[in-house]
Amino acid sequence: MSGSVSEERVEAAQKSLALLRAEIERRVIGQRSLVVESIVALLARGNVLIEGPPGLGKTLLVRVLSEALDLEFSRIQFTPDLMPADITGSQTLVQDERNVPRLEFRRGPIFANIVLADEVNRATPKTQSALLEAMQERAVTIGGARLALPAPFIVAATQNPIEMEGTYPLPEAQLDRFLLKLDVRFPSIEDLREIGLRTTGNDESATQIVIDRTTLIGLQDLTREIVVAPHVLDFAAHLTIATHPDAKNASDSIRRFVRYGASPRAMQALILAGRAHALVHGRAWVGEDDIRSVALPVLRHRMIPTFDARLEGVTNDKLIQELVARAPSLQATGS
Amino acid sequence: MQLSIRTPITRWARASNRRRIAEELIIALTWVGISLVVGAGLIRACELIIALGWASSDTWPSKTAQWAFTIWATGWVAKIAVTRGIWRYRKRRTRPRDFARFLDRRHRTHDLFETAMAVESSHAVGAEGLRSAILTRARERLAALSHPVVEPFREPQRTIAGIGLAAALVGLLPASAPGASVEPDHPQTEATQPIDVRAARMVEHAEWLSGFGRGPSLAPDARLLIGHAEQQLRTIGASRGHGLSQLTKAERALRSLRTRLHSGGLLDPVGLQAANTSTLMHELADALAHEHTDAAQPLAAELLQRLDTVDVEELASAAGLALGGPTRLEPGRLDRVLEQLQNRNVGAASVELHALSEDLAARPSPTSLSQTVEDALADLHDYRIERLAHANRPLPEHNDPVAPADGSIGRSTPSSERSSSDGRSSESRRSHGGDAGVSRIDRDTRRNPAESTVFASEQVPIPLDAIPSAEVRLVQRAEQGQRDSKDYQARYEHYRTVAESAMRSEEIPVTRRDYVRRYFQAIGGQAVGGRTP
Repeated sequence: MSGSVSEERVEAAQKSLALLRAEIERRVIGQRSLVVESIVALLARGNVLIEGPPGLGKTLLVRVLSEALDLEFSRIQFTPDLMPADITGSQTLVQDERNVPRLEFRRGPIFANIVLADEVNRATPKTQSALLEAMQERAVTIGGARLALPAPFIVAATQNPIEMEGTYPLPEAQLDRFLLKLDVRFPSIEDLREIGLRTTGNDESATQIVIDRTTLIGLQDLTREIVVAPHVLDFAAHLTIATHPDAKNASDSIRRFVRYGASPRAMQALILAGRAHALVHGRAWVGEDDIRSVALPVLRHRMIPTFDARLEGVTNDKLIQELVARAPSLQATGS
Repeated sequence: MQLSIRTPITRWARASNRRRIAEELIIALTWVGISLVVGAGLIRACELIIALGWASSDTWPSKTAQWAFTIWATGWVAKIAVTRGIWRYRKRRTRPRDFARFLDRRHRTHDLFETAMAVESSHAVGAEGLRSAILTRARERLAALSHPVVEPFREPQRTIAGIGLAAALVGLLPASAPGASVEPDHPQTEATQPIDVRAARMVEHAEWLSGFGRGPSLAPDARLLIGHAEQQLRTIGASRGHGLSQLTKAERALRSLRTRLHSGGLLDPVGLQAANTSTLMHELADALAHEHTDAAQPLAAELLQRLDTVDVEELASAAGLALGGPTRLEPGRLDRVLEQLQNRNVGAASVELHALSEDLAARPSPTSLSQTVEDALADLHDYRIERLAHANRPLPEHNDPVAPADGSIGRSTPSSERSSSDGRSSESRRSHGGDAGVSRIDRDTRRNPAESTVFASEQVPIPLDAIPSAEVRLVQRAEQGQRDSKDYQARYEHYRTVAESAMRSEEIPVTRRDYVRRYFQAIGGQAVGGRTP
């Protein structure tokens, strides 16, 4: 009986997520994989780092996601003079009805379900740290008081890879806290025509709410119940270790172009994102294909390239694709 | 009771493994088959090479040895193939989990079966309800599957096709040269027996030459020639594995010796005069004992010249010492010389010795050495013919080309089968005895070497009351000198062409070709300058 109930839950989740996906894709045109990956991050309760040139719909994606989920959305435009208090909020002196002054905490924009940290690399490391602490802890400490952030809580940070002057690139340790790093690709010509058609008239319809907050939390819980078999865990572990240049079965390209490989947190991220990916596709179990599908966004910001890699233009994406392609042999040889 | 996921998957995995074992076994057997086919092909190629005359069967491993090697090599191939099969099976063996993975790949079930097996063995993590759902779904999918085949028999199919092709190619390989008929294989013992006998005969000739060559009064060049001929004959006798080239070498050595023999005496006049009387007497006795006629005659003449000058007692003593045994030539003559010497009757002794010398000189030529040389040449030729026959080479059909003009139609026969004119075989002409086992040759048989070869004819009986055939009448008329007819010329040309062809194909020894050509010149018509043979 419980089996059938659970199966119905998975089927219902798949339907809801399909609706969510369709609704987002209706507004954000030509970014199908980006939509799926952002839903995966949402289900896994992970934060995402979205990188892409301006004008490709990064902010729109996050806003539409919050609208479709009926979640509170806030946007923080990161600038070099942005202070941590501007994000978390601060205590201000106010007078009550009896004109007695008192300190009152005014919440910053971090107190929202979906926070868009626009151009996160333009703020100083101090400010970035404040945001990243909130991302990790899902709480902020102000004036000695620890305040929990609302659930669900997701930070979507964006980066512009073109304008690097006057920026503060995120340290590797902080990058690791993002579950996924999403790469926004330029849409195809057909998608561009569609964008031109839909977004320049008066009839642009509002986003429909397809999943409420409670359902979303239920889906997030269900994600963590998805079954993972040992062979999938082995696969994820081998894939993680294979990113290390000092691993036994590391390929020549990994040895040459990777300075540091992915951390154990990457392994956790692979499993978690794999579970979410399986649920998006209506499966109650994780397969190796799910791990393969999420390997790129999970690992691409967790591998530190060598100078040779930068010099020769070898990207982490290329290395990961190579790893995934030879994944069966990874398990056969062990690490 | 719920259906287990592992049970059918394990069963199918075992079935797949059994199939793989069968596949590897077929592959191993196929390799063995390929090895046998290749071996058979090589043996067949050997037969073809021998049939084409590119090699002699004497210098080639026997068929038994070839098959033994093939079987030995096949055994090794089998060992390697079986080891390879075991290794491959261990590598390809399917475990239940691998089979579940195979099913997932084939049916695009995204690791459903593998996960279900893990759930069943409580190794998977996740919500209990979801685990049950996975098992339910896996059972449903599994029930819809028929027994899947892991891999078809691709490799055995390829190898079996390969072996079939190879066998077909081997089957197409001709076992004999075009136009040549290969005799069926003879048992090894039958094939080697005549050759061994011939080889022993070569040794006999070598022994005889060795005895002859020990004489101290021989000319140095004659001694060298005798020694060389003896060595060549011994080489043939020592190992029958020598090819035809060794026979040719021995034949050349004997021909050189014969030429030297015909050009002059073998004894050295200077050495003969320098030798002392007792040595001469001893050599004379030895030559008479061994029937060395051509050596005995000059010795007797030299002793005769010395009778007037030497001490009679010393000569009698030497003669007494020399005559230790019976002499086969002129028995009693030397005894009578000795008797006269002991009686100090030098005149009578001189008369006896003179008579002995005259008798030896009067003996019809050829002398004993030349007879031995001719016999050895004849035996060499027979030996060559037998070796060619042993090598599956067809014996030359000499019946027509060498037909004598005396009305008989001849064919060639091996010397062991044919008879000489006096009805005695070549073997019967040899008598064994005397000292040190040295064979001796019966002096009664004096043959022209040309007549003692394969060209000796066989008489075709023609009943007196029967009408002779046109062929016989043609030959009979030719015998009477009527050789200008077109029929005779056509027949003659046909015979001569066949003989020339046989000579060109090396079936006639070099030493005999001149005889054949002279013969055909002799029996040719006026148009070709023929004369009565």
